[in-house]
Amino acid sequence: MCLLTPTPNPSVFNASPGTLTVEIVPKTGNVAFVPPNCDVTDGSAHSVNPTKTPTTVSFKVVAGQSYHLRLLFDIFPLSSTGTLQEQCSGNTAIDQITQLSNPEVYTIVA
Amino acid sequence: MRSTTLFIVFVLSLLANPLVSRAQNSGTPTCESTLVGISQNSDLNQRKNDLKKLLDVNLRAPCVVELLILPNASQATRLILWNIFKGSTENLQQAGATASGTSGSTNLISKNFTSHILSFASEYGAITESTSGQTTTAAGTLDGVPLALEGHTQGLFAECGANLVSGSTCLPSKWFNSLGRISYSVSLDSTPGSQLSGTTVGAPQGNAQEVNVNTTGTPIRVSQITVKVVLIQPPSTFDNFTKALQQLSQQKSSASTSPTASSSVTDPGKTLQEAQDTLIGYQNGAQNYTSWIDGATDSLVKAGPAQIVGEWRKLSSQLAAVLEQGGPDKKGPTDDQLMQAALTFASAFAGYAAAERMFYNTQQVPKPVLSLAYNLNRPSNQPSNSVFQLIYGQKIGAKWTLTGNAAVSIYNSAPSSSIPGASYLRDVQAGVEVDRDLGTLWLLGPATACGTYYFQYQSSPAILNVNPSQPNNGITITGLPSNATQIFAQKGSINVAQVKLALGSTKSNWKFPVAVSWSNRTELITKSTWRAQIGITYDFDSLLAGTSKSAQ
Repeated sequence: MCLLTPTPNPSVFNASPGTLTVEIVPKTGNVAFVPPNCDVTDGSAHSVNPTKTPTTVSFKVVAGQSYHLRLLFDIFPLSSTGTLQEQCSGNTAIDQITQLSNPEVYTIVA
Repeated sequence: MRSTTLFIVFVLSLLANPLVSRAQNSGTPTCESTLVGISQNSDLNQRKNDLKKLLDVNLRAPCVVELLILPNASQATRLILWNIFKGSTENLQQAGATASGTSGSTNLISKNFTSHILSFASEYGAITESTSGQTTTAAGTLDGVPLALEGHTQGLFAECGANLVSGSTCLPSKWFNSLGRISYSVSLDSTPGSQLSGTTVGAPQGNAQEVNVNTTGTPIRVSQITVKVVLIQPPSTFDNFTKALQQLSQQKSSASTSPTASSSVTDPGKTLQEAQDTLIGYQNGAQNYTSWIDGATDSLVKAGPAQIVGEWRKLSSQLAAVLEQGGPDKKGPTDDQLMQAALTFASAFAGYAAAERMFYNTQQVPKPVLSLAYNLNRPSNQPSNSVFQLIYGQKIGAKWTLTGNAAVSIYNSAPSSSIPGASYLRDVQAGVEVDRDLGTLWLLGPATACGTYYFQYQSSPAILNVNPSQPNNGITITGLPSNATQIFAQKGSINVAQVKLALGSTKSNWKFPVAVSWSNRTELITKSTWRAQIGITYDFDSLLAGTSKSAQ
C-alpha cells in the first residue's frame, strides 16, 4: 500500500503512518542518492535516522508529525535522468530527476 | 622528434573522434530546454505542476538561481571575479606564511622550476607533484585543468549543463570525457647540475689549494615524458556506480565517529545544500511568494514553445522583488544579499559537478582494457629513445586478472655507425602478468599470487654515453680510449620471470610481498641472476583517505 498522496504544492506530500520508502530508479545514465547527504528531519529539525542506500531512503512516518526529506543525487553523466518514487505497489511518482533537480527538499505531512 | 610529432597528431585525432564513447551528455537539460518541453505537454494539470516545480527553490534551485542572475549577468561576473581575486590573495598570503611544499620534501628542486601557475595547478588538484631522490615528477590527466577551473572559478567556467551564470564559459561534456582519457607525466632530473668542476686560484698553500667551483650541465633537465591514452574502456555499470556511493557512505560514517575527523574539509554536496538552505529561507520568509507562484504559473502555462522562455525571463525582476519584500515579521534580503546567495549556489553547483566527475573518474569508472602509452626517455648517460607501448588489462571471472604489455623502443637519433649492429630500432618488448586472488588464507589474511614473464629482444646493443675525463657515477671502465664517447654491450634477448605472493589487501593498507625472480641477463650484464625479495609496504595515503574522499 502506498503512503504518499500529492498536494497542489509539488514539494509537499501528505502521508499515512507506516514505513515510507522512497526510491530512485535511473532511466538514462546513472542517478543515485548520495547517502551521507540525504536525511529526514522531524518538526524539531532532529534527524529521524532514516535507513539509506544509494537507491532508497526509508523511515517511519508517525501520525501528526511532519518531516523534511532532504535528497542529494549523484548524477553522472549530467544528462542522466531518473524517477523518484515511493516504493510501493502503485509506485507513487514523486518527481522526474535531472541535473536541474539537485538538491531537493520535500515536506511530508502525516 | 618525428615520433613525438606523430604521437601528438594521433592524440589530437583521438580528441576529435573519441574511439570509444564514454558517457556522452549532449542531451543535458537546461532550464530553457525544460521549459520548452513542459510547454509541449498536452496535459494542462501536469504542465502547471511542472512549471510550479521550476519556480520552487525546494525542487529546482538551479533554475531559480539562473532566473535571479539573468538580468544582472555583468554584475554577477564582476562579483565572481572579485570573490576569486579575494580568495586567491588569501591563498597566496597563506602560502607565503607557511611556505610548505605539497611534495613534502625540502623542495629545493621544486622551487627552481615551479612557477606560480604550476603551484596553483598543484594546489587545486590539476596536477600531482612528487619527488624521489633527484627526480621530480608532475603528473595528471588532461581534464585536470578544466576540472580545477570548474571547481574553483565559482561558476564562471563549468561543464556545459552546470553553468548557471549567463555569459559564463562552458566546456562540453564530451571534451571532459576525451581529455580524461589522456594522462601524462613529466619527470625533471637535477643530477646533471650536481656535477662540479673547478679551477685553481692562486698558489698552493702548503698541501691545500683554493679553487673556484662551478656546477656543470643544466640545473634541471626533462628526463622523461609519458603520455597515456585509454583506447578501450568498458562502460560503467549502475552496480559500480552505487557500490562506490555505498563505500563513500561507510567511510563518512566512520569518519564522523572518529575524533580526528576533520571539520575543515569541504564537502561539495554539503556546500550545495547549505547554499540551497539560504535561498529556501528567503523563499519561506516571503509572504507573497505563494500567490506570486500561482500567478506566474498561470501566465507561463498559456505560453507556447516559442514564447515560454521569453515569458519566464520576464519573471526575473518580479521574483527578486517578492523575495526581497520578505514578510510582516522580517524583511527579505537586500538586492546584494540575494545576488550573493544566488552566486554562492551557482558556484556550489559547478563545484559539485566537478566533484561528481572526479568521484566518477577515481571511484566509479571501470579500469581500462586497452591503453597506448608513449615514453620519451632522456637518460643522462644514454642516447634518448622513444617507447610505444600497448597495455592490456582484463579481469577474468572473479579471481583472475590478466595484464599484457607490448612495446617497441626506438632511438631518437641514428646511433653511431661505428657500433656494430646498431640501428634506429633499439628493442622490442613483451610481457604478461597473471594475478590470482587467493582469498583469505588462514593466519596470513588476504593474499594474491602473481606470475610474470617479460621478454626483450635487443635489436641494437645497449649504448652508454661516456666521457673518459668524467666517469659515470658507479661505473668504472678500465682501458677506455681517451677519445671514446660511447660504449656498448653485447646485444641479445632478455628473459625475466618472477613469481610473487602478496599478503595483505588494498583494504588492509599493509602488504607483505615475497618474490623470486630470474633473468638470463640484463641490458648491460650478460650473466644470469636469481633474486629473492621480501618487503613490507604500508599505504600512508590511507591515513588521509577518509578526509580526501570526504571531499566528494
